[in-house]
Amino acid sequence: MAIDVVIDRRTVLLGAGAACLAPKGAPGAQETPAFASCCRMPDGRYAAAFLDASARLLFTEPLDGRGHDVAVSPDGKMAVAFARRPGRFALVVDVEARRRAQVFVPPPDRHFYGHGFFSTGGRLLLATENDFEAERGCIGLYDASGGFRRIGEFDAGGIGPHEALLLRDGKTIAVANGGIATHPEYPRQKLNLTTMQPSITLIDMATGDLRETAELPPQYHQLSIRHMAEAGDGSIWFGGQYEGASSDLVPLVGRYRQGGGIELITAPDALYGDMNNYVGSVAASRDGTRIAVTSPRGGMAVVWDTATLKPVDRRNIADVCGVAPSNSGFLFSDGRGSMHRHGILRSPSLAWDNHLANLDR
Amino acid sequence: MAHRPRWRVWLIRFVILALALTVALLIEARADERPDFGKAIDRLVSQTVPLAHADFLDAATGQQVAVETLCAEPSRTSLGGARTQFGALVLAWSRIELFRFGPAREDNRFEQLFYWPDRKGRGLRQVQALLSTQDPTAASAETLVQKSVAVKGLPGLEFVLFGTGSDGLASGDDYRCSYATALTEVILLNAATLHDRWSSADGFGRAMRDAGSDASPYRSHAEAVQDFVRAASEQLQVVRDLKIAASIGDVPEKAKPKRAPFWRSNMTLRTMRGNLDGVAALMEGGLADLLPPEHRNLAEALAFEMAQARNVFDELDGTGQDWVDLAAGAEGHQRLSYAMIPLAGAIGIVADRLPGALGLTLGFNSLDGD
Repeated sequence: MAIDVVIDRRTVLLGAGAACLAPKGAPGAQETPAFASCCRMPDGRYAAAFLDASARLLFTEPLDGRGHDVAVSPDGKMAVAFARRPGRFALVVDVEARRRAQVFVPPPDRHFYGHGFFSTGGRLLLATENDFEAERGCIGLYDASGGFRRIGEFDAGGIGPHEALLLRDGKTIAVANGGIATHPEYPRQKLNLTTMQPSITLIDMATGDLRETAELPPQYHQLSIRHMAEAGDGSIWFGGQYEGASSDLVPLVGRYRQGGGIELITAPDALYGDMNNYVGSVAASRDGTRIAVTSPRGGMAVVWDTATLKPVDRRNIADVCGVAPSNSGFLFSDGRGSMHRHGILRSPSLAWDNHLANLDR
Repeated sequence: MAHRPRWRVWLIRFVILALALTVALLIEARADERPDFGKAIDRLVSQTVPLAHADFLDAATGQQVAVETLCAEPSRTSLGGARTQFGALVLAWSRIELFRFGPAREDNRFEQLFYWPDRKGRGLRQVQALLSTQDPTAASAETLVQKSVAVKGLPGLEFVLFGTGSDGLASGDDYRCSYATALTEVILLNAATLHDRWSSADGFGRAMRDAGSDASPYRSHAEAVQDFVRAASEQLQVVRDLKIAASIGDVPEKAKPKRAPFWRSNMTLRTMRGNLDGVAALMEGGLADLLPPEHRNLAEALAFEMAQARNVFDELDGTGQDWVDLAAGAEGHQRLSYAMIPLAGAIGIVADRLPGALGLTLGFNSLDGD
């Protein structure tokens, strides 16, 4: 399917730099996939999309429904696009061959939450899942070297595990438990807003043992912890979605340090106020000194300095959500089909979904 | 370099100027065509929404009086009066159920009034436990208000008035009556607070009206309108997916009618109709006015789709059958399955077409979260 790509030359030239989104002609077969994201196609159907380092579209693979995040194997050769909750498909893409390899599903009594990650060696794929009858979050274990057969699961240590990641030590899983109970019979309905208890849990990658649980102060129990990234200093930065009154002004960003609990990050009221009680994605810069969070409902992205804990940059981008580190900072994607770095690369017939993943690690 | 005659330079300048003026005028004309979101918000928060909440407040007051009468003079008649008033109460609630944002989110007021869905029956078990142990803390509003949201709202009152053992109220059941009285007082308190928070000078309605000011959580009136559009869309989805589809199942044999709210009082169909009336009131009370002439047909199309569903609810209600029998019976299942078709059409109009027609920027990512 033809997809119209429009380069905004003016904005590109404004930010002309080594790695700007400069048009260099149509991407060819020799271009290496550098980013992946789920998207909505011009015909309304959904796909996993793969882009080069300049964020130009290389190829897409259709999805059975709306996708969410893409997990990438350590060697970058395999990518798994997960269904958006409460979806039940995961599409495996052979990135080198630029084609789908297979689709797998969780057991009938589980559904995906939309996120997952590979083990250090790439042999296992782990996915956040909902054991909805038991109202229990879990991490499904799939054998990536054996047809993605499900070989077990870990308890997530909380309700509604959303994003989970393997910390740099390669031994510890960090899980953002949103705390919200849902059931596929009541699609996307939040069933426990009054009693929800979000948390960050640490799980032993080898044994599945729960090592640590960190919760928010009681007054913030309705701040659903959904997305996170590991900073260079080992702290885990997270972004939340507040389920309380819209007139409440609460910190939406925080960090967790092992053994040190959760610390909510202070920022000017206007900044959090503009974020409209909603953070959609979190990413760390390549050097780990910066954390970017996006707020599609606020139409803005904010970059924090991990040393000073201060916001150092803000960009107003309507419907922005996806964010991934790039060599020159961060690449942002929005629901109107644009990619933003120094310049803007527009594909107005596409809608980029919530997350943007790196393939060039 | 080629020499260009002076008159040609002036001509080019003139053409550029004329083009620029034309573009500017066109942009201005387009700006004039933008819907007046502020006017619509003003109408919604000064009339439509407060009036619907005032109706609920009236019904809650009526319920408190009816239960007081029942407890003062227990009889079949006074129990019937309290039960009839419960029907009026949940009907009024069903017309404001769509307002899940704003005051309804403060202090979990929505859940305080309407703890549903209760998939695992937690609320029911807690209410039954209060009744069986005659817990004194549920017998007065002052202490009941501090208890779980699951035991102090409309589903709790429904069980007390219609559930197992409720006929005893007609011959005097002191504890059940005290709990019922406390329930009506807490419901009345929440109804009054909701009404006040929408209507008062420093309330949420004012915050919507003052969109763009530092004191308002809204940056623009368009953003405030988005919340109303989202509310309408969610309400339609709740009726179709949660109240009908989850209750009737794929086939009658798999129906679970008791998943629907208010089946004990047999108010399920009427409250679903009330839900649609709430959406209709929102359209007629402000949103439809925002539609530009070329999209006015959307309001009519939405009204048509909702009328189809309402007709089914009315027709089934007219049979006099209980919801539980209806939803699990072949004929009722078939009719309710049919009602989901126009509801899907209505959802398509509100969720997919209305935002664009109104010029709202409901984003792919910001509209529906993750």
